Amino acid sequence: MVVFVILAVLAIAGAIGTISFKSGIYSALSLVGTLLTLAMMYVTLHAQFLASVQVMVYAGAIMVLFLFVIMLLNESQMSGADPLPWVQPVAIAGGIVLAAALAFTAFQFKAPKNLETATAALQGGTPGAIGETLFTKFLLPFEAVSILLLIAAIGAVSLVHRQPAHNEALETTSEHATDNAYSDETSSNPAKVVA
Amino acid sequence: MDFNHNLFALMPVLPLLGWLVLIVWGKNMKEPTPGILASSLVFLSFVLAVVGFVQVSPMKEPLLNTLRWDFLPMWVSDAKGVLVSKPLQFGFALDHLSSIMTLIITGIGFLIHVFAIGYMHGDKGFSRFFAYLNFFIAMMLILVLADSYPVLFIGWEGVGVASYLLIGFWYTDVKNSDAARKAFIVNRIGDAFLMLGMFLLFMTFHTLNIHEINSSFGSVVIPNVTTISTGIAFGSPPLELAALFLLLGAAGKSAQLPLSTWLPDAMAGPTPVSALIHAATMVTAGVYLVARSHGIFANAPGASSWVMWIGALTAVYGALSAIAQTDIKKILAYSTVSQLGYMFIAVGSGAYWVGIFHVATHAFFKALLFLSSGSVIHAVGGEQDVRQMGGLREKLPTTHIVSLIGTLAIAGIIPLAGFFSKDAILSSVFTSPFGGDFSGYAIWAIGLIVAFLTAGYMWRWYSLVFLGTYRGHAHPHESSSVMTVPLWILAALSVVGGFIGLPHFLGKNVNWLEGFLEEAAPNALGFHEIPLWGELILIALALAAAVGGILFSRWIIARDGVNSAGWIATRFGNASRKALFVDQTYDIAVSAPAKFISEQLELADTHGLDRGIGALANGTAEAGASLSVWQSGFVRAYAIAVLLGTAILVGYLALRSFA
Amino acid sequence: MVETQYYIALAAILFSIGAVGFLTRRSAIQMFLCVELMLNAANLALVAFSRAWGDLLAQSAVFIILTLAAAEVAIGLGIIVAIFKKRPTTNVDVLSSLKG
Repeated sequence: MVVFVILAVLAIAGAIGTISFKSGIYSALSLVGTLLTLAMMYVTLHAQFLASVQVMVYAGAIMVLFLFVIMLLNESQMSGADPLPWVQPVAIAGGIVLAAALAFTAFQFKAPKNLETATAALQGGTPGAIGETLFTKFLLPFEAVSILLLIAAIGAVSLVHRQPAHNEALETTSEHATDNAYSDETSSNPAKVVA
Repeated sequence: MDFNHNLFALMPVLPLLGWLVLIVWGKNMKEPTPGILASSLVFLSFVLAVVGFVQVSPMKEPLLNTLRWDFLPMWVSDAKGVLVSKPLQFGFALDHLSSIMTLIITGIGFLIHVFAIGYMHGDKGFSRFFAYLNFFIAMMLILVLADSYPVLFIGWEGVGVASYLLIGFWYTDVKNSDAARKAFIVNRIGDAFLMLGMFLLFMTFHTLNIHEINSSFGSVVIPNVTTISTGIAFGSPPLELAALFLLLGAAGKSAQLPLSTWLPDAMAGPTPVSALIHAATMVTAGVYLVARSHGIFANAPGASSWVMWIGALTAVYGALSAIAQTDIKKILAYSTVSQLGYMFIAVGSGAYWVGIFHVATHAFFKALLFLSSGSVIHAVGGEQDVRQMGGLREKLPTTHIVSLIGTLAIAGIIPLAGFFSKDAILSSVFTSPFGGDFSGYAIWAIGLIVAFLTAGYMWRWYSLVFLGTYRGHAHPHESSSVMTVPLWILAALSVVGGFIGLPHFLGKNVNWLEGFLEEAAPNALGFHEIPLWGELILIALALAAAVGGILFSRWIIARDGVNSAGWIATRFGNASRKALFVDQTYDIAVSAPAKFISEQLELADTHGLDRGIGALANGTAEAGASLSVWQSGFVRAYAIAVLLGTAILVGYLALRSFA
Repeated sequence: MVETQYYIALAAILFSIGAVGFLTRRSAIQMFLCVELMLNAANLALVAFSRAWGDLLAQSAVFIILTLAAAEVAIGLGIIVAIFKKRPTTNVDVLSSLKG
């Protein structure tokens, strides 16, 4: 119980950090903290494989991706007045109501089995145990999700893919050139003359 | 053999094919080609009609085509009251009656097609014209070959469409398209009644097959006859009502009172059209319908006497209106109305072969007269006012001779075609079983007066066009042989056409037509017998009326010259020239109130409905605009709605489990 | 052993924090981080239920969800980068051209 409380406090602290830091980098790092805490919590919940995956994929790969993008865009702080000032108090009130309602509902939960026997059935959530389920009952979603990953990779590439410019020299020399990159190159483009 | 049975069904198919070809490729054809194609297809149909005639002559039953398909799903309750499917088949039947009609349609139609090759020379719509003509022939053949009322109705509507298209053929002139619309609309009124009649017949007989209905009467019994005080017998009510509906339908197509007003206006179309559709064939469809439904009308004495009366009134109306007309075609148009009235008298009297007899002879001489006037119009450069004609006897010798033959034929001079058919009508109405104590004789007297008037106005027509000296300014010239040859053929038919229905007293089997139609359209029962001398007196009176009419007309024209109509006008106050004010009456009684109602409705529409709908639309738009505040475009505004909704739902669930 | 209810309650709290963050942050990337937080809260609940029932199915589902999250992040960040190329901002309040 002590472990749980510590972890819970850490997780909540990380979550609050995520939403309150102005800087995107701090935010992301706070979230990493929360994710690592959750990984530890997975261990206490006898989900060892998930815990390691959480660390590697989530806290590792995904968050690194986030950090890359944040640094790539290198955006300054949000400027200007909030056009929706009323959202913040309403959101906090709604969030508290939601948390209270969900938590209240959570305590209505009646354990369907004896916790010890149920825990034993998990076999510690080792990769072998998970793999057996994944490749039997979850085979179709597993394969489907692999295709989905492939599609996502291709989609991400095509989304951020730089449009092949016909004339890179023009693009670098003239602002008009990007607009006219697809126009007839033989046309009497003043920018071209300048180039 | 199968092939022989189906051969006659090709008759409407051929012109339909011609229509299709001409409407699709006609524009690419050089001038005489569409005319020749159309004419030859109609000629082929005519050959088929002759073959069918030969085939059907010795038969007692109608010839039915074996290729037929289910065309209207129908359900009939059987003896136990269970609905059984009895689909109506699309099929043709060729019996003696329709055989005569197909001969008239294809024969006269062919001649008019040939005439039109010359008449329509140089017209922009040359191929379109022949496409329409072919379409008309096809539809008319479907009409007469139909073995059931719905199939007949297809042809009935089809000829209406063709008539509409051809009246408004020169549609760039608004007068012509108005006339076309008028014809179409007035015809619709009749068609609505024809449909009502069909419904009623289906209710009564559980079938719409014409031959089944006719044979269901047997040959003797008139069911449920009651005699009321006028002496006119009445059949069973549904039968009488159905017959009356059919009569109104026929009146629409055949331009009988009160639906007669479209026919004179229909002369706006090219003259071959007037000859073919509005004189020889389509307008006789009403007569054909009554003759075709002879079983119903023979057993509906009340409706039959209505047919006679409507015919008689129309005949006298048309004749009176024709007297003072000045348009060469309008005179013939009113004459057609009058002669159609004659045909209705004949079929109303129960002597159906007489009606068909007059259809045939009238087709000959009226087509002849129309084509002659077409030839005249062609010669004098489009002039249609008879006061601008005259003296064309020398300039158009052929046209003159055939016109004289036509005039004498329609006037009823012995031994031309019109004499025999008119005499047959007058004697049949005199002896009709549906005449009662009084009607038959009264209608006979009206018929006699009409005969007198017919001879009069036709002689006026003839003398104003051909006699005297030329009063116009054009340089008349005789038409080409492609136009005169059909005239000669029609003239010959007008001379000898009457011999197919010689009076009885000349011998036992001299009346070929009556014998021929004995099975297909037998006379109603109960004609009176009149002695030989009585019949001779009737004939003498008819002849006297005709001769008297001509002599009277001669006298008036000799006295008043071109303005002979003025004599009428001063005495009848323009009544004749204005066609007895029927059009004006319609204007006052139907058009004006309709216009008034429409105007009021329009006011209600603009001020009531439009405003109401507008207010509704504006209200909706405003409500939408006020709601569009929510669509602020801010993601977080949408998201908070989701959050609050979720919080409320989950909160509710939590509270419910708490309670 | 800690009862399942506590884990669920923790998940509820984390989820709500994520939701609130999603609404209060104006940077698209930070909003995205909050979405990840909410997703993890749901994962935690699933793992907790997995233990309660003694069934590995829920853990397998979490594995699938992790993979989905990876795909989603790839596409989502791609979209953000693509938008950023058109309009150099990640402020979602500026990106309101779909306004009704």
